[in-house]
Order: sequence, then structure tokens, then C-alpha cells
Amino acid sequence: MKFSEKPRKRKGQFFLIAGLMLAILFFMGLPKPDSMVQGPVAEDLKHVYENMEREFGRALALGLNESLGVDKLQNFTRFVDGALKTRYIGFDCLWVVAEGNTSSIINLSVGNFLGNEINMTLNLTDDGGSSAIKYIGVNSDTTSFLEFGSVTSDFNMTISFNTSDEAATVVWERDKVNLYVFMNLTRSNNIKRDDFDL
Amino acid sequence: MIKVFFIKNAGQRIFMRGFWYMVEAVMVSVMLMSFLYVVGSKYTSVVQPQNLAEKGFLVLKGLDDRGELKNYTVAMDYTGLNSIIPVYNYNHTVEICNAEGTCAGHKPVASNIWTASYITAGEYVYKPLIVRLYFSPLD
Repeated sequence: MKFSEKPRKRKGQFFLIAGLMLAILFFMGLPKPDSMVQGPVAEDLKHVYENMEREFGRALALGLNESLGVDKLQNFTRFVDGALKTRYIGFDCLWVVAEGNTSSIINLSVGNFLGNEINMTLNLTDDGGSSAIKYIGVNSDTTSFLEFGSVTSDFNMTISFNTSDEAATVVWERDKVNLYVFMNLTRSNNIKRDDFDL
Repeated sequence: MIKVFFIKNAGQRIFMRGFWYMVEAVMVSVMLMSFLYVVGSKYTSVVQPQNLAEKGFLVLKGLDDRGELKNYTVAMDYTGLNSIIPVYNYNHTVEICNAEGTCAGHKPVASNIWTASYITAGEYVYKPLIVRLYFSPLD
């Protein structure tokens, strides 16, 4: 048998090996998935909300002990925003603090941390059924103040902002500090949007 | 097989044929390894206990309910807090961070870590802190 007539049984092995090596190099270049395992997203937001429901009231109470209730609440809101950013959770928040005094005046502080300017309507209805409405525009990341006079000891406050969809009515007492918080938590396509009052 | 007609020289033709063999081999290898990667990762990835992050949160919340959490957090005592975490089937460490971003404690060095977080406003004075509880599989 001539050399040239030898059967060529293994003619492609080097190409196959080279191909395999190039493919391995390709896979080595792929980014390694993050080893940090996180919990289910929806549950995570539920827990954050539950946590905030407790701590916003505490932040205000601790601030009031130092006669800096609204300042500390503002600071706490920013702290929470920063802490949640590290977990890729978007945090938008609006709160209203009502502090009454014996001269029948209610001082309201409105903290807007929703990321955009809002127009708020505050409708106070007292025991006798008479009502007073006030409108206020609040810039993003600021706190604005207003007051209602001649308020009875118990009253209803309807808080609405931007659209009538965002409205809540709370029953408050004049002679204590009241807090209303609206919160919007987002991560990917999950949203937890709720409000509470204390 | 793709034929290269425009190359007249026999040596060049053989070289080009080899080149296309290699391209084919690369494509086959990528397809084969992709298949193995997808199928393999299904069986080799860590099975996550779905409720571990939730468990961590509930542990921290439970400690807060009993008034035990904030004594440790305000003092930045991550070791003391970690010692009262009632979880025994995972390694766990605690990290406490303040508003300035200064943290006390350890994040474990492991291939898989589960994290639970809890934010506190303070105890007797306003002092916002974030507590992170990390879980990792037992060695």
C-alpha cells in the first residue's frame, strides 16, 4: 500500500481539540453568577414594610424626646432610603405629623420623599361636622408646615395628594402626636404600596 | 461542509478546509458545553431554603419584641447579638452598621450567603442602625 493511499482515520482530531479549547476559553470568560442568595422579592418587601411600620413611630417618638421629632423623622427617612438602596429596593415615602396643643391648634408637618413635587389637600372634619380644607405644595425631599385652628379633641383628617387615588382618612386626637405614613417600596417588578397611621 | 471555491492553490484549499473544520468544532463544542452547563447547573446549584431570609427577619423581629435586640445594636455588640440568635443548622454572623456607614461585625466568606436585615431607630436615644444577619451552610 502506498503512503498516500493509507486510510486517514484521525484527520480532524487537532481541529476538534482546538475547537474545544476555544470553547472552554469562551466559557471561562462568562461572568460568574453572584453567590449572594436573596429571599423571594415579594416577601422581602413585605418584611421591609413591616419593619418600617414599627420603626417610623419609634424614630418620631425618640425625636420628640429630644424635641426634634420632625427633624429626626426626616433623618430616619433618609437613612432608610440609603439602607434600602444597598438592597436594590426603591423607597418613596410621604408622612404627615400632627401635633396638637391645648389652644386648639394643630400643627402639621408634611415630609415629601416621593421623588417629585406634590400638591396635597388636607381636609379636617371635627366632631361637630364642620370642616376646613388646606392645600399645600411640597417640594421633593423637603418638609413643609401648616396649621389648623379651632380643632376639637377628636377629628378626621383626609389626606390626599397628586391624584384622588392617593387619599386616606385617619381619625386623630388633637392632644397627642399623630403620624400618617404612605410608603412605596419597589424592586424589579414587585411593588409594596401601603400606608399606616399611628 | 462549506466549500471554498475561489482558492485555486491546493495547499491553501486544505488550510481553509481545516479552518472550517475548526469553526465547526468550536460551534459544536459551544453547543455541547452550553447544554451540559444548563443541565448540570440544574442539579448542582444550591437548593435554597426559601424561608431562610424570612426566618432571619423573624428572628430579629422576635428579639426586638422581647426587648433584647436594641441593647446589643445600640452598643454595636455584634458578638453578643450573634450569640443569642437561635439558629443552629447554619453558620451565622451579624453585622451592625450606623448612619455614617461604619459597620461592626463580619460578613462570612462562603460561596452561598443568605441575608436578613432589620432597621432600628434606636433605643432610648435616636440612633438609626441596620442589622444584617448572614447565614451560610455549615462547614
